[in-house]
Amino acid sequence: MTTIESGTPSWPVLRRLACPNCGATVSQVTAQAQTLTCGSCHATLSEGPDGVDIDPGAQLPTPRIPIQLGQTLPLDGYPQVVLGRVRYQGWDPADPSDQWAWDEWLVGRPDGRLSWLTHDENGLSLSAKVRQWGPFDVYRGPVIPLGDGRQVPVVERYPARVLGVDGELTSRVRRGDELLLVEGRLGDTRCDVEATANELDCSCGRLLDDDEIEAAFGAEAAERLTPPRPLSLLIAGVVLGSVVIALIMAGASALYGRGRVILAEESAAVTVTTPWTAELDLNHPGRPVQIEFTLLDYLPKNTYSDLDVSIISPDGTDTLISTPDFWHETGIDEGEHWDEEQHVVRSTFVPAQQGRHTLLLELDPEGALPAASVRLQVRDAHLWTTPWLIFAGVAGVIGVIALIRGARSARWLPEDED
Amino acid sequence: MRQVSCTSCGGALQIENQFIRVVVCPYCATNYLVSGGDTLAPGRTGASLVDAPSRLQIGARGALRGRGLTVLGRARYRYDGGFWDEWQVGWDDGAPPDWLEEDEGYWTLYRRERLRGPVPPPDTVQVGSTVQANTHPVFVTEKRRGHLEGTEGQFASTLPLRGEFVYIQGGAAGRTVCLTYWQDEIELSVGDDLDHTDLVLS
Repeated sequence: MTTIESGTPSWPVLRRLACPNCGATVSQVTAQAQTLTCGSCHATLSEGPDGVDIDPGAQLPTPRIPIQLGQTLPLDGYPQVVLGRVRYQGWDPADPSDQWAWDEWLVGRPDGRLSWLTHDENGLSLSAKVRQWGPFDVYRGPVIPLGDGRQVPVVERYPARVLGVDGELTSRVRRGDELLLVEGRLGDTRCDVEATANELDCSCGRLLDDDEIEAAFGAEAAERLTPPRPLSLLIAGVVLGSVVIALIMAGASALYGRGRVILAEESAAVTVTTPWTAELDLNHPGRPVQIEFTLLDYLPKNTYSDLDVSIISPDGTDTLISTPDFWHETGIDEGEHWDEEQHVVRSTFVPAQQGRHTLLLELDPEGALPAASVRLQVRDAHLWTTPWLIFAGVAGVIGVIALIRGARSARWLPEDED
Repeated sequence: MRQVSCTSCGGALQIENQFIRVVVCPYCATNYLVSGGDTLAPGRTGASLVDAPSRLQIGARGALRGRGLTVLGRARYRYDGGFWDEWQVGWDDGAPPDWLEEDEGYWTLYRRERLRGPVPPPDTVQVGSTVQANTHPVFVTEKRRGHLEGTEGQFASTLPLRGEFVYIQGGAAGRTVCLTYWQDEIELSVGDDLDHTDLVLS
């Protein structure tokens, strides 16, 4: 990695000075440098009205974002050298205890153009000074008017101060300098106005996307610097909210949704020749009706017997609604005898009409039993539990994915550096 | 081009064109007012800028939007927030020299404009306000007090080596306008922003 001390092919060292504070060599690579910091004692040397001012300075906290002075980064289609860094602290004027910090790096292109790389809670953005803008009232103006006709809405105003500087800057910046910041946003475009009593500076730029951050800093940085995605968080919120609702509905269905018993037959004599019938008054069309069949007779080993269950609607339509399967199987598995049977089966259907229906039960002639006794219980207005659980499971997975994509819980925030 | 000698140190001085009014000896920093005769009228001695690094240099040649130029002089101004440089450039086509200024790598070409009407006194102007200068409604983005720190090369106008001035600068309909209040003169400069590809140095 290249350092400021050795310069780069595009930014050679123009001058080497002896730090007035400690005597170490301080290099200058920009012709217009007005602030230099000593890499040895961290003193800040800035151009004042009568020459160079010296501030003892202090070492800035190491940034978690992998940016170092002298590093060359591919940004905006150019190899750009990191020349200097300013760390700011802003605060809420209504609540001065509400404070936050962020970093800005001065980066330079080979042709001498300078830009600012800003790392704040929104991610990484690259901006440059705007020469034509205004008029603008920094205290009340609702939009920042740019020279190209764009109007950037103001989203925030707050006071800030300089916590410290590092490297080389083309303006005089000292620890403790205070300013008023006005932030404007228009899509991915961000415009900031820095106001002091003597000067208004407007800079505009844009948030860097994942690909640009990955190209400059690597995949991990791209993952950890990408700002939260409001849309993903919104989707996650909606989906996870629906999961909660689905789980509540599933629980309510299980507890209270079994419906009303409209027919309970302890022993229906069902044969293969004559249908067993019963009248059902179904008054909730569109709501599931659940029928539970229990075979009361013994089913010989390794046989089965099916029921054909049909319903005749009030308009005479005859519909086969299910074929419950009773079975009895045995065998030997790894020397062990097993014997399993199914003699309770549930079927569900949804009536389309309201009124008196006829339920018909017949035994399948291919089954083992020519006649059988079946206990049945019919409930209408039943609520399904399973679909709610399936919905909750699928939506839960989608919601968690959206939450992870949106939150980026391991993000590098400038506040984390302290 | 005219050859003269510095009366202070004997150094050779070249006066580039007929517009030059001030020439600075590169060896002893003595300022000379250029008159029509063969001799130079010595003025005050200012600070030398030979040790101040820069991207341009006296004598550098190039083209601005295809128009040939030569860098004739540099004036460095200092204010409470630091300094800035202005470069006097002469044109190959014989037009009067103009001023070139660099700010964060972006160039602006300034031309002096005759002030044709009143302008507000500097102490009544605030940053963020709009003032009228000739036909330009200037949105003031900067107001400071400064002084000339040093010069090198040659210039088409006299530059006061002593005393302070107040300047206000801002934008007006896509151009950068600067009003400089000297002790006995008010100057109006109107600048065109240049694209980074506009200026090519050879």
